[in-house]
Amino acid sequence: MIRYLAGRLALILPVLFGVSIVAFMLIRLIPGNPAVAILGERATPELIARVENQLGLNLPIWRQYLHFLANAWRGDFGLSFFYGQNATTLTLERIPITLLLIAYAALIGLAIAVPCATLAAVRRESAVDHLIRLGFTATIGIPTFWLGIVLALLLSVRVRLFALGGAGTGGLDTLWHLTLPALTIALHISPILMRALRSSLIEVMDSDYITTGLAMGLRPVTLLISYLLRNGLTPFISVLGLNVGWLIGGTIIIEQVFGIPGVGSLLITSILTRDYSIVQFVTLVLAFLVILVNLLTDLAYAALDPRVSFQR
Amino acid sequence: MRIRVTALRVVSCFAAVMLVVPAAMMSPRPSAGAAAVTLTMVRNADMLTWDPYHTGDDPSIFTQMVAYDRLVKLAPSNKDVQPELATSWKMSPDGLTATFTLRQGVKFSDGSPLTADDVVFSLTRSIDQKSDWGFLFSPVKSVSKVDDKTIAIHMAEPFAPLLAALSTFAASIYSKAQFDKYGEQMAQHPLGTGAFTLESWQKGSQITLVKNQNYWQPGKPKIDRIIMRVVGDDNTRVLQLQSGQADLIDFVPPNQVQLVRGSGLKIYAVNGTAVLRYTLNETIKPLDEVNVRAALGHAIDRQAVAKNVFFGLAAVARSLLPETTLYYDPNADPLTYDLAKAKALLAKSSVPNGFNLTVQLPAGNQTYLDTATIWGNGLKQIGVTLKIDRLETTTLIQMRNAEHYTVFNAAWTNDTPDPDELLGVAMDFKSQHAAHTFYNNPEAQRLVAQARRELDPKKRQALYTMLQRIESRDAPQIYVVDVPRLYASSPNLVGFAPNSQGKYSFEDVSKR
Repeated sequence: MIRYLAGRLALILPVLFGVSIVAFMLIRLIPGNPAVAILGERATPELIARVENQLGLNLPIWRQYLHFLANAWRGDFGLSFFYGQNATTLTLERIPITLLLIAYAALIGLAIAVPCATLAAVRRESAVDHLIRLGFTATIGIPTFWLGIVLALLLSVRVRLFALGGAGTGGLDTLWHLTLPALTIALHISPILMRALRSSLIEVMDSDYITTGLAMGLRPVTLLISYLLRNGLTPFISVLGLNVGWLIGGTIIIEQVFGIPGVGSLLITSILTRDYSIVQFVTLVLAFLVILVNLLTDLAYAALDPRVSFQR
Repeated sequence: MRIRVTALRVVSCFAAVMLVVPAAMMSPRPSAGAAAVTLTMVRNADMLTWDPYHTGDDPSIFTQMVAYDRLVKLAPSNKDVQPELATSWKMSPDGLTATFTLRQGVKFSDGSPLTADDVVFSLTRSIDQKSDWGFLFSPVKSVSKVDDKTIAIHMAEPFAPLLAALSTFAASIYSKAQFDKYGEQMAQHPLGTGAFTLESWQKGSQITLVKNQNYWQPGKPKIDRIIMRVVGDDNTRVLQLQSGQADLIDFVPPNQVQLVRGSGLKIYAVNGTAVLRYTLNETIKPLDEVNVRAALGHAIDRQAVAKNVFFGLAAVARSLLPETTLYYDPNADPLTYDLAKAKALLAKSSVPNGFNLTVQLPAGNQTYLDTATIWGNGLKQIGVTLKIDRLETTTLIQMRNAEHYTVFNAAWTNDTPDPDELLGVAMDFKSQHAAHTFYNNPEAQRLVAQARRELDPKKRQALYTMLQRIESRDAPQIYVVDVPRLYASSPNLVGFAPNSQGKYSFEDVSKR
């Protein structure tokens, strides 16, 4: 177990190294010079040259990367071109709200997907099953930004049930503010979760031990919770873990739509303004998050399925 | 079994950490007392700096105008100035020295007194030609302290736009002691005499301003706290206003104005802030011919743009100057929609049967695209085929600055009520090749310089009328419409009256 963990953790560094190269190069491939983005309409050739010199943008790209790497190793991810502040400070103060949003969305997603999938699996090929599947297929086709606006219009403007935009003042107020965006993300991700869970449940329902259980006279509720869900959830966990990247992607768009001060909206603004340092650091942080969740998914897999073992 | 238990613990710990830690880290901010009045404004972008020396973006300009005061402020007419930190001023007979008497008893928001030294220090930074806005004060040589109540501004030549330039954010007055303490970091730590002062700033998401307890105007401001949140999405800002979570929003999309009005909310259209115009590059043939440029200028249906693109909220432009600018003259032979005239002008050129023209627009800007489409329809009728190229914004600005464009479309934000800033760039070849047009007219240059020096308003009016007439005749830039800046608020907000410089005037705002 320890060895396995150590091995997996050791792998994080090369992966992050790869991500750093991609993030570094991609943002520089986008047309548009950050010096011009900073100077805007007033960008004269002399001013551009001055700013480029200040930012080190006139160096060859490989030297810029080596600079970045050397500084990153010391924990310095550079200054934001726009705010003149540390990219790390600006990003880290926004991480909690994004994590909270992701977790909240995942929980709501599960709360929607698990009962629906169970119902659909138990009532396989019935009208209920078809209705649930049709509903979720429709949901997956709706763009999140549109869904977000419609939900806001219905649940925040028409019926003033939830707060709209921002992150509130902490505690319950924050949860109240995050409910709509979390619901939007959850609706976006739940079709995938629902379908994965439904098919794994059906597979389990067809296995012999369920028939045996039924023959032994176990109560359906016991059977459902202790045997069906327990075994059906195992493959589902990996689907959930694999989709964390998807979940984070959805969060970025939704943060922008709802004006939530998380890393997602920071990333979008920084891409638009070519604030290289922030884009690089946020990408690294998000990549780290995906790697971490994948690792935890594998651990959870072992917890749910005794056949999976990390010991040789 | 051991592994299972460990892993279960890991998973449950992770779930707990995911929810609890972020929630705990966002500790509740202290809430204001029950009687405190808070105004929530939602803007489309955050400000970037509190230092006027390095400011380029509108959100910074507008917010700085809340926390800092200036010697003079723009009158409600937008055409004159009124006393602010200066109570009176006097120009020397030779027009080379202006002396300002300072208001007494004014304090910074931290309680320290405003002194003549603070004023001299701030203005000396303003006139620094290396600063972003030094050009506004180019004839100013120095600023000096006369005594504790008086400062003097010394100029190399008579400079008529002085008071207008002093009303801009670029001439904001701030604390010298604060700058000595923080240096360039004053960009994060402002200290001014304005009605509100900075309490906290979460970059990119929220600014909280609180009432300046030492504000010099008795009984003002009437609100205790202003929260400025950033929401980039146009629809969300409108929805937040409709749901009552915002008192005030900026950048209302023109196509939603009717809807917002219909739901009982207030709309504010601030005119005189910008003129939408096409800048023509005269190094590209046949744009070097005056008949061609004028023909292009007569081929755009400005009425249709105002009505269809801006939903009737924009006014047809009749000068390169916004209509609230000093010496604006709508009757100086403006360019109007006249296809017969356009055809006749083109007939006199080297391309009587028309030609192909390219306009470069920023990608994603529907307003500019719709406007260009209307222009294209008019041009088609005089034989000119308009090709619309859409490019990423910063690439486009770079192309314009490198002067590798054909036709560039922009709206100029008006910083001063004086025409010198705009015409001084647009009509003077020495200034960025006349706004990158390569328009080179010695007569226009002479008039620009003369109008800058002329202190008699009547004579200045005549000079600027001549300049506007020349601009319309030679059409280095083709003006289209006066674009308003759009705000919306809840019906309970009283006294909100932003001016053409973008000053919100929060000191007069109250909530019912």
